[in-house]
Amino acid sequence: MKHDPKSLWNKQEIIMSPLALSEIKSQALKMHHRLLWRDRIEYLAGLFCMMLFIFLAFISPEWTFRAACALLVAGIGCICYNLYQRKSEAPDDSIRFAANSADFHLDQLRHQYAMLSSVGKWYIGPILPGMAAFLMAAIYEASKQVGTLNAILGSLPGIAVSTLILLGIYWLNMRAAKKLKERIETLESYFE
Amino acid sequence: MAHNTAEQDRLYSEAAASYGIMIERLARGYEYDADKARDLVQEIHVALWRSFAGFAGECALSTWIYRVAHNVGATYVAKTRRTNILNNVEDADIIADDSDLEKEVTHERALRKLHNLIHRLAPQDRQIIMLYLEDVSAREIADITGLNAGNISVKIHRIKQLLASNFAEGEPA
Repeated sequence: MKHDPKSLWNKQEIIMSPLALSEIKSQALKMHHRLLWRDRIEYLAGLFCMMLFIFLAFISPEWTFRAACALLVAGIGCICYNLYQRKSEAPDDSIRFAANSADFHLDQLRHQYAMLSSVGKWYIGPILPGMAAFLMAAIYEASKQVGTLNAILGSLPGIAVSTLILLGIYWLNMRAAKKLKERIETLESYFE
Repeated sequence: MAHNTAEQDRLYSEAAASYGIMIERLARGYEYDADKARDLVQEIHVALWRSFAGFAGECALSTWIYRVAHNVGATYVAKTRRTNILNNVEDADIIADDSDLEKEVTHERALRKLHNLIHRLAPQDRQIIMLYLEDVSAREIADITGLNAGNISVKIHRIKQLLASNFAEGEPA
């Protein structure tokens, strides 16, 4: 028996599952709320961290720690603002889907690439001053009790862990950005 | 632009009535499992309704619908990562040699083979083969995909060869 692929495709048995317009609208609304909550959770996590450092600043008797906490609060605020900015710059999903495939896929990947490759600037950068100030405050306050050298030596594990965490975040993002860049280049050559 | 909801609803209703079956077929091209394909169909319908809020008539309604449907489908594939090894249409021989289709094959088996073939392609090529099977013109495929006309001709030529080698005397290459 011979099979014409076009006829096979177009005559395949389809059991339609039509949705009422009201159901479509209700699902669209649910999706909108889900996305809204996903964003809110990120901002709430940022707000929680800010409240924590504000509390620490209040209970800390030393001005050095209070200053470090203030820098950390400002840094977290800056990250939240950067997140908000980047999200508001991203095109709305409803419009994005109507782009041709080349623009749709490439824009999506380029946006993700921009986020990942600039993580040092918008995510790590803003909290660096606060973290550095926090470590310096710890060394300064400890040096009053045990001397400067011992204070520095004692804080080395903390400095090492913090540095490793930040470097780890940076490295993971750069690795993902590199993979995305390769995918972008592959797609660009496909759509050329 | 379809600023008001009534116009958005009208465009959606028109699209659902005219292209509902195409959307169902397309969903099966991106997801073989019938239940999951139904979810994908709903996802496409929701995206379609939302998209009509921004429809300004800059392209044909059919082009708009195909774009939204395929972009949602491709996003679904990327999210689920359920694809096996994805081939380019240029690597068609890998698929053609994959199995020997018996000369006497049932309609269902042939359809399953067609689906298997589609599912093994990378999303971009999958889109082109489905548009070709839907009898969409090369010019409109170019508008939907963003590929240039020359590239589309080459792809369609390869698709015809691929289908001919898999379906014996289907469409001539």
